[in-house]
Amino acid sequence: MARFLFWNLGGLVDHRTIVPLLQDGRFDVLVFAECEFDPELLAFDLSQSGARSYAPSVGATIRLRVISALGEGFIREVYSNATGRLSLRRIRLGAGEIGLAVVHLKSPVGNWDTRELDGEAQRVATELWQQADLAGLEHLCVLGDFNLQPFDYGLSSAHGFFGLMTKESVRIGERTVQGRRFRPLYNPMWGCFGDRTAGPSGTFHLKDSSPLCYDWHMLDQVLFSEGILPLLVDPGTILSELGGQTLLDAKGRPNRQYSDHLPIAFELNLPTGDVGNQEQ
Amino acid sequence: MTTPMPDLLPDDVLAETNDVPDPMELLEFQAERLKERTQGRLEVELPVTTSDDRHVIRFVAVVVSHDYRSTIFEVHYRPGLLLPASFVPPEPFPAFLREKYTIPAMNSVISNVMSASRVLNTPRTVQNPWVANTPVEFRDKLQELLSSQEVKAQLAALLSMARRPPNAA
Repeated sequence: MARFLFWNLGGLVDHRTIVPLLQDGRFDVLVFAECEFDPELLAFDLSQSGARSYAPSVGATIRLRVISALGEGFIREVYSNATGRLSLRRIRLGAGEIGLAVVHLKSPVGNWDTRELDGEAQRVATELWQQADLAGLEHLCVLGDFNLQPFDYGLSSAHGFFGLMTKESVRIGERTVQGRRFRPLYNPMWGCFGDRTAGPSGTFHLKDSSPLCYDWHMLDQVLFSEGILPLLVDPGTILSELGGQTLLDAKGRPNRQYSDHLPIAFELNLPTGDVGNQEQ
Repeated sequence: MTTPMPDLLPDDVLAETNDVPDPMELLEFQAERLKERTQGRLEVELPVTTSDDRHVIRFVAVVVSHDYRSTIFEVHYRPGLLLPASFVPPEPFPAFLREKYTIPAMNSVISNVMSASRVLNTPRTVQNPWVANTPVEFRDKLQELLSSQEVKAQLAALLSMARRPPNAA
């Protein structure tokens, strides 16, 4: 099984804060946004103190950091964009090959309104498919902090990431809208909202005085293309604990000692074995 | 006697349009030059993506031997009109790669809350130094962008990659 974790670390400066949380070696690929420390340090400390050997996966995008136990030959960046908000990697495990796209879209804090954020999501989604096609990556996992909710236009519309809420909707395949063909993605995070599911009600908590305030937000998400669906073991879980430590404060919200976001994880039925130590 | 009709058209834009290449030609020429000057180790693709409100040209450097692509910068413009255009430069270096930087006095959580509050409550003027209104401005800003530390570092990193044997993955 291949286990992936994404975590927006909210500008965490000291990597040692999260070493105890990750040293059990449960995850094969660790992806971080807003990571203010050198990922080499985290990989080194995890390898020294933990169960597995980790190394940074080299990438041009500083905004998004990837540490992997898979070994350089098995995970390699094939594309990064100018703003560092999109990085695409090729992962080879067993006979399979998948694309791991990591995104960190623009934050609504600033001078961008919702329409502009949706427009940015459209552009990044188009860019992603263009580059995935160029790299010959048909099967995609798209992971990251989208700074949009699953129901926002940029995430859910065919012009954007086209993230639908059921596998069945995605299995139907491409859709044609006004002559253009669009490939849908399965977004399991639709099913993680609120308190009627196991785990926290979202990945980020922000309460303000505006009339439309959800309190919990699902900014961190993972989406899958149709070809990944048969591989899904855990399609997406919001983690409230790591390494036996709770990530929540006394109110049940993200403990800012670690980050203002909670991590998300998913698991694919791909053989990892000891690939990090294999010769290529 | 009748007063002659005045010619109110501006001299600068009309004159400079004759002397300065079209923005797209300028981008294509830089792409050709980069290939030539790196002896083909780097090539450039100029794909266009569209969204509801704009078109975006990406200046994508390709490390040919590795089949690796990295967008160096973007140009945003209205559909059908390449000017005015806005360049989106590469992301700035993170703190640990900067020779000099300033640490905010307040911790990030407090400053984030404060800045969010300011955004909500106070009108602000946002200046975009990367907007080009004329072909001359487009040429000058493109030159400034290509000479920036971030672009130079990225090109150097890609050339370094091109010297190594391609990875198996």
